[in-house]
Amino acid sequence: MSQYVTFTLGPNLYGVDVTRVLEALRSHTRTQVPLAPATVAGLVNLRGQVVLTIDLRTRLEMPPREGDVEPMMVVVQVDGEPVSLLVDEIGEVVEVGPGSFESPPDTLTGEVRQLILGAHKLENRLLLVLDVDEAAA
Amino acid sequence: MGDIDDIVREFLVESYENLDQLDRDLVALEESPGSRQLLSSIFRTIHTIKGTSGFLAFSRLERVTHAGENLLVELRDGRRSMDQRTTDVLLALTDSVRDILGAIEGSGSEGSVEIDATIAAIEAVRADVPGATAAAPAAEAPAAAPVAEEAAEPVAEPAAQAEAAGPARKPARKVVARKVGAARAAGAADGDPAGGPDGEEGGSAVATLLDEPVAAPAPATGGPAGPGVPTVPAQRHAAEDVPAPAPAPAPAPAPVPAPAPAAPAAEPAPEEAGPGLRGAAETSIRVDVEVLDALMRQVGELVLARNQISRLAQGTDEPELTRSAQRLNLIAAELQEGVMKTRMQPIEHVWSKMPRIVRDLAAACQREVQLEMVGGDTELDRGLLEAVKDPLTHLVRNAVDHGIEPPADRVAAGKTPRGTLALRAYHAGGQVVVEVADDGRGIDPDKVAAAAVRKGLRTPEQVAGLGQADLLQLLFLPGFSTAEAVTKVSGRGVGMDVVRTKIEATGGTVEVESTVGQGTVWRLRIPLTLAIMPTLTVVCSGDVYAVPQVNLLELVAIDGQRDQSGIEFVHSSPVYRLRGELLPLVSLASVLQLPAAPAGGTGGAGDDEGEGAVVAVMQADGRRFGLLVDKVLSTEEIVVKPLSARLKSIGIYAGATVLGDGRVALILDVQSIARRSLAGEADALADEAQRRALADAAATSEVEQVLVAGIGGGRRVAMPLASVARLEHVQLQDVELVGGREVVQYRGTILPLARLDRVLGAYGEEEAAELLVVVYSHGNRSVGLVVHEIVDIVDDVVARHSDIEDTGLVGSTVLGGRVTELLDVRQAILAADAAFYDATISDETYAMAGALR
Repeated sequence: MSQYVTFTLGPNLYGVDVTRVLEALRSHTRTQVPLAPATVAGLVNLRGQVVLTIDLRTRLEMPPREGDVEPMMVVVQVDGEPVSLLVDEIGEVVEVGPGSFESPPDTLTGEVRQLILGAHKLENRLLLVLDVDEAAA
Repeated sequence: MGDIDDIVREFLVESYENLDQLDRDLVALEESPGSRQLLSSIFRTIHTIKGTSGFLAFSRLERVTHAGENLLVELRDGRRSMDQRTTDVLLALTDSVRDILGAIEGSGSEGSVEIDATIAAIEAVRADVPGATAAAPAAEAPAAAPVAEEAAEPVAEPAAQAEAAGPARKPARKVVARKVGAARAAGAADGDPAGGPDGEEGGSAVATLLDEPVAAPAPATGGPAGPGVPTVPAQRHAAEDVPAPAPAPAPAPAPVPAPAPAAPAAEPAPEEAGPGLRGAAETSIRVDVEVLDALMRQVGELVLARNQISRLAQGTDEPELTRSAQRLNLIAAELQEGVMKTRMQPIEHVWSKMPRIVRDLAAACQREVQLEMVGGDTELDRGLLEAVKDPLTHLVRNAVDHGIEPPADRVAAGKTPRGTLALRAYHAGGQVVVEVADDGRGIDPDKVAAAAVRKGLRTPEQVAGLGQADLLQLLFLPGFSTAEAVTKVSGRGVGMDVVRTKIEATGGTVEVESTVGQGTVWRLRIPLTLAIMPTLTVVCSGDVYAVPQVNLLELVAIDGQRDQSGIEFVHSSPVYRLRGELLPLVSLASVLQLPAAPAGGTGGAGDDEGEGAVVAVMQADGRRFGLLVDKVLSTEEIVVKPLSARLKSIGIYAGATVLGDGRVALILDVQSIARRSLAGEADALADEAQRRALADAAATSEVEQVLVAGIGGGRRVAMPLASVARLEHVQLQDVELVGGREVVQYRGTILPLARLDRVLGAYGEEEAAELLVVVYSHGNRSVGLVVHEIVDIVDDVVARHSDIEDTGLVGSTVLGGRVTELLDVRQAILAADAAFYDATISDETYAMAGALR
């Protein structure tokens, strides 16, 4: 059995291995980083620590958020450093077995395929498992 | 080192320190071979290591140090005198000891470090005891020596006297010396008062090695050793802090011949000096560096919190809060200073290795070098000390290898044969300045320029416009090395760019000054501490950035109300008249590719000479420029937080920090900004047309040889000679046809021909019976270009090219007083053999296809 912290981006439900997640919280003021790659949403001050923020929408090639929607932050551990991922809504922690897992379909191509490890078939929707290291890269 | 017990660890730490001292002493000893003080120090170190290695059952270490000790005894007793060979052997000994210590550190055991060669070498030196030296001790021993040595070495004087004081003392010394093995300290049962004095040698040796627990058994086994024991920790201190065994005031200025007071001069008699020394021991402790690092980080956080509180306090009218904030401010500042002090170490720690390096190197390069070190007590943060170690070593090696000339050259230049290499350290403007200065040949800026051009790092035009100081900056380019030959010592690809990168990583800078024939000074400016950086916070396009004050010279406010506010343009480059000199301006917004400031978006050619902007005059890489920002907020002490590698690779940011208001601000890397922007400006100033011509021709070479040929109709073309294989005459009747193409049989292959007159559309004379063919070869393929006549081979100055061109040409120029077309050789060749350039690839493909079949 594995546990995932879930969150949504647009219509999709994503999951990140719970052991990689440090915390989930409201978004902070971000300092923009000129000349940085587009996926870098800025730097935030997390209790005195400067943490890089990645906008998962940009990373997953999705359209930007609607103007007034405040994103949430999922802070994950990557290479020993915290990295904050911007998501739409944070869901609950779900526990799934290996039986419900399937690899991504062959029709999923391009950059995004590198980020999606596969899908867990939940009762009424799919939980897409995100490769944290790729997503934060 | 996890599985090594504490005693061994302590032993390793102490021994490494002692070995550094040993290197220094040995080199110094070569300078003043008669110094008893140095000999005693050396002897003590080796003896200490030997004693403890026996105690800890490191038999190899014991054997090799024992051999060394035997030699040292002879030296110390004056039975032989110091010479080059002896020094070499002793240095080899320290290297062996170091190797063994390394093995112990790595594996916990001695391993199989080779020591026999060293021992053999030592024995060999000992074996040929020259009879001549035997006379020396005889002269010294009978108490006559003091007079001479007193004059020479006031400090060592009493010690020398002690030795000279008579044969009676000798046995005592030996016994005490053995005491080092702690457990064996009992041996000091001599009872002779000299045991006390000499105890200094043995005692401090014990101290350097062993902690109290180990030392404790000593009194139990030997009464006389007792007095020495309480002072053990203290002496250890003395031994560490002061290289020479002379820290204490000679407490007993008793009659010279008396044995007892003699040694106290080197170290006070235990009873007398006991309390004072013990005090020293009690007031200092060893602390793990990690603890200090953690403390430093905490203080950094405290400083941030303080900044926040101060910010809050400013916004209120509460006198209580304001007062508390001020107090906090004060305490935090003091605490910060205090913690920083704990991490400070004198730069001597790094310098201590230099005498040995210089000595070895000078010998290897046949130089004579006098090393001077001034300001070794200048203190620097430990982490920084580590960071500057390699760059400093590199600079020192460079100075010996490249800076200082061979003695013969120096004499010829009217200098002393012996060069001087000076290391100087001092505090200046909140920074530590470390200079490596030599009085050697200096660096010739013209040679530097030539080398930069030769290596394709800069074009001749670029270097032509540079001043002397700027030319020296070229030394820091990656891939630069002026060494005419790669020597063993330097020129191994680790260049000044690495030095600069490393120093800049600490927030420091490197400068170089050089006068040809007089010498070179490399100047490192290093911040006092890594963790906390004084910066100036500035606003650009609404965001706050921190600029290190290290680079800041002054601030100039530009009045937006005044017309054009004093910013002028040289072509597209904005400049500012600062006290009559033009200062190039770099707009931070355009560096960061941000939209110009909302307030002052006058936006002429993208350069925002916005209203009320501020020019921060910066100095980087020896050049000045003005960084144009919207607003300056304040100066703030910030804690540098590392950036993730991805943001670091952008190359504009040195780090990030949290400001007083909790926002994250990026710290600008002023050096990189300067390097990017100023190079760009130099290009902009360079002549447009020239640059295009350069881009067309091979951008690096200035002059190339061309073959000028007539192609009929009075036209001449030039083609690069480099790719011409040969010139051939071909009879017209030998020309055959393959498909629509003309070919000839040439050296057993088929040579396709291209008639340049047809390719280039020149029509003129009748066809001759004989064709003149220029053969071009590439790999194993050749083509022939048919021309009418060969005119000349001339030097073509690329910069003079004009871009008047036509099909098949890349431009034109004037050669030999006539306009000559520059042949696009590639296109001409393709006209003859369309597959010419991918021949090698396709050949391989065929081979592969064949193999598959």
